[in-house]
Amino acid sequence: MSDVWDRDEAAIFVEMLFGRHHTEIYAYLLRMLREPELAADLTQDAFIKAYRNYETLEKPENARAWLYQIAHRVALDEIRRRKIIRFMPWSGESPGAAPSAERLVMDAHLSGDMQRALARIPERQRAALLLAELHDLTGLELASALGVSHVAARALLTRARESLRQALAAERAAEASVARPSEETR
Amino acid sequence: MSPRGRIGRFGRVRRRPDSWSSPHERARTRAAERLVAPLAASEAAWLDGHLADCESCRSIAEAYGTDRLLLRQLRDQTPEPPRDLWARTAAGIEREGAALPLARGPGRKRRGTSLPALSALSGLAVVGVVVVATAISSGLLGPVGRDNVTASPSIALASLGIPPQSPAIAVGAGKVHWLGAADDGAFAYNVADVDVVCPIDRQPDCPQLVDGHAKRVTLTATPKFVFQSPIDDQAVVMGTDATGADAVIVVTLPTPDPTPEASTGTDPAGSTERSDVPTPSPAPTPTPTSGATPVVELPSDLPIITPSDLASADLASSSPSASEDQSPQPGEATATAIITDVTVVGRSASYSPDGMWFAFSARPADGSAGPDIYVWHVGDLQARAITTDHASVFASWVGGNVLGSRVVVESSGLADASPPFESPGSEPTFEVPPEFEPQPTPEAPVSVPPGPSEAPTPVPELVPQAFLVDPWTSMEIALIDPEWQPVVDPTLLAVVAWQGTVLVGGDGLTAAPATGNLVVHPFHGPLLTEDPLFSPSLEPSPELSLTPSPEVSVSASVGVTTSASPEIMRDFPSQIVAAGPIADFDARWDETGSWLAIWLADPIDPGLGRLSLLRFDALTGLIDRPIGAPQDVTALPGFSIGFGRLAWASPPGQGGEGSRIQIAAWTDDQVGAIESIPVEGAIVVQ
Repeated sequence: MSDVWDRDEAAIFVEMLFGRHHTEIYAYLLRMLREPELAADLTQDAFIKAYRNYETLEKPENARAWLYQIAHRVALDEIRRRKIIRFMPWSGESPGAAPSAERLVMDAHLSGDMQRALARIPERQRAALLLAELHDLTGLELASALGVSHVAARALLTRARESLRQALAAERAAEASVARPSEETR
Repeated sequence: MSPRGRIGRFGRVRRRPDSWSSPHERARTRAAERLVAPLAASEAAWLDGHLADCESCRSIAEAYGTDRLLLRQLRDQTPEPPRDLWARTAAGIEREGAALPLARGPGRKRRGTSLPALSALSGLAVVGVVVVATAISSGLLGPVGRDNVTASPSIALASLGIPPQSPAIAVGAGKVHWLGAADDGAFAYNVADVDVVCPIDRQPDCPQLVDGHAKRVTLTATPKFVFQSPIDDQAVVMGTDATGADAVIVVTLPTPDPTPEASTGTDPAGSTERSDVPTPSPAPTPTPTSGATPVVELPSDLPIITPSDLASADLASSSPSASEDQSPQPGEATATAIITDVTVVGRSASYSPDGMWFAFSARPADGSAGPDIYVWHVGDLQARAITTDHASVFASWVGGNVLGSRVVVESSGLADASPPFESPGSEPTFEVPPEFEPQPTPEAPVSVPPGPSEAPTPVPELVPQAFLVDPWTSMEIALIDPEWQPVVDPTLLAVVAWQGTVLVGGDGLTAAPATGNLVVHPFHGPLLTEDPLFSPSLEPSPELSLTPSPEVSVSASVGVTTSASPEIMRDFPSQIVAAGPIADFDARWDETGSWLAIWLADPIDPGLGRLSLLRFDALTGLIDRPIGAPQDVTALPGFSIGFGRLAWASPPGQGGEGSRIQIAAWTDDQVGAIESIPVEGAIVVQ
């Protein structure tokens, strides 16, 4: 089997995967990182890595979970990188950089108690919740995507629910405390 | 070594799974776990008992459920990726490919696609990537915004790679599964590779499909329909058991032997030389049986079953009446009757997309009540009803929710919230949509004869209601469109449904389309509701300008869709795919939402019907029927559609010849077909 043949097969396969799954992979990365441009870049990276690591996919029927596994690692790598690199604080408006309508829509998407609460919980727990509840990964797929055992994935999901509950409660309490003074001033 | 020493050596001692610091910790953990999988019966009972007494834990358990619903409502906010994402990715892949070393060691094993086809394509592939990337970036193909809709442009290239003059159509690797009758009361589970089919004009020359790797399967119920899990070899068999009532049984299908390279026995060049396919023998002779399972002797030379091919994969029902008498055999698969003593209603049963649920409709076998929707979760011992009005039937899955329909009011505007089916002592659980609020009318309310002991009385034509149900909580929400048996495509863009009235049958227990049409139209989602558990998810997405229901226009879409690409035709016109009257129908989409198969029951013999394959273009919202696609072909009930294939069973032929498994398979631009040799008692595994 020639190397050229392998490359072509990989390209065709990844192209098909892209057609089927790029929307959900992008959505997952956006939910993890909350930055549309970054999510797009990482989606691109994930599919390129899928192409590069095509040989590691044993069964085509597992391609979706395999793809999520790659995307998850890409996301965690980015999050770790952020923790190391301190970006310069951004202050003020850039000249001519008014938010686009698309950006406003995206911001609206990412607002709300739930999104803020998700952002407060540990990233692995966040990933577990997103993959299980929004992306419909089965238990085994979830374990595969997270790179842990089935039992560990279940335990992680359980901890994530508790973290989310507490984070939501904190969000609501914060909202209530903000709303209370404004009511008093009225 | 002391326990302390062990702790010191290994650091933290791992807690046993059943060791809890407090019953409250145990309860909260179990409450969270129960959201994704049922607990063991004893643990569930303990949890319920604890929650009944512990307000704090109960509050947390409820919060888990509420938070979960809120979280899942984020599905409605699926963002759209940038339009140039594929162009960027394709360019990256091209760069990556150029940078790969020339030698990468031994080649990987083949996947589904045939090697010759890929070899022929090798020169096209890189060009294809670039061409498609250019096309997408320039807007020629539009964005790939909808999962699975515009997927796999390379597959299109693959089909184009086959010379047009070739008599065969390569459709990629795929399998078709069916049951056939074996001798001694057993059934034969067949799996055949179908990766090449014949063009429609070459059917007389087309070799016949053969499978020499059937597995023997013994069922304690005579199967009517078989549904295979989308994720493994588990299957649900709906059939009639020894009592004469229907039963729903979960089995594990035997694993097929490795299929030889040319298992279909077909010659892609169209040759009729088939040394491995014996000529079908004369009519088989039915064998009288004393049991409930009819036994049909297959001719000895029929290749579907041979003694040497038979494997021990008996599937005995684990229902008490069956399991006590049967000793487990080595390698014997287990089977579980998840419901018995019922009459299965309709043909729309199916697994959920994730394979974790199976939904169907059934009513008591004694005719004491109308149908309800049942769900079974993988791992559970029993199916359970998620409706209680005895007037609901399962239609399809919408993501992880069940979509059902029921009949509520008369078409004349006569309103009656009572279910038209007899359900003594039960209260309807549905809410009548506002537009169907009761109006003062002198006419008598809708009623249905109560039971088989009384003479059935025809009932007026009724208007249906469709609704979503959460299989975990049984919570319902009505859909905007009042219609019967809506089947939503997996991408939530389109739905095929009966729009019109419904007539309750003479037995007072079943319903069927009356006046109206079978229509494909945009999926409009559920009505807005004041239910706090549902309403947040129904807030329209910012990019969609909506008017809340009930004033919502029929052309608007609520934010339940998974994609918001403006290029996708969300407001395409409704199209009639079958004009009424029709006796009954079964409609199913493929996994991409681009192909739709519709089976229409024969008005005289509902055991027969006509099957058609349609293509749905998500970019235009239009339905068409490609050349070569089956159109009104005679078919037995029960068909499978998915992964580029439609399989059904044709009725038995003349002279006692068995049914044939018929397969239509397609690429992006061609549809071909192939059929099996005759099969006794053929049932397509759906």
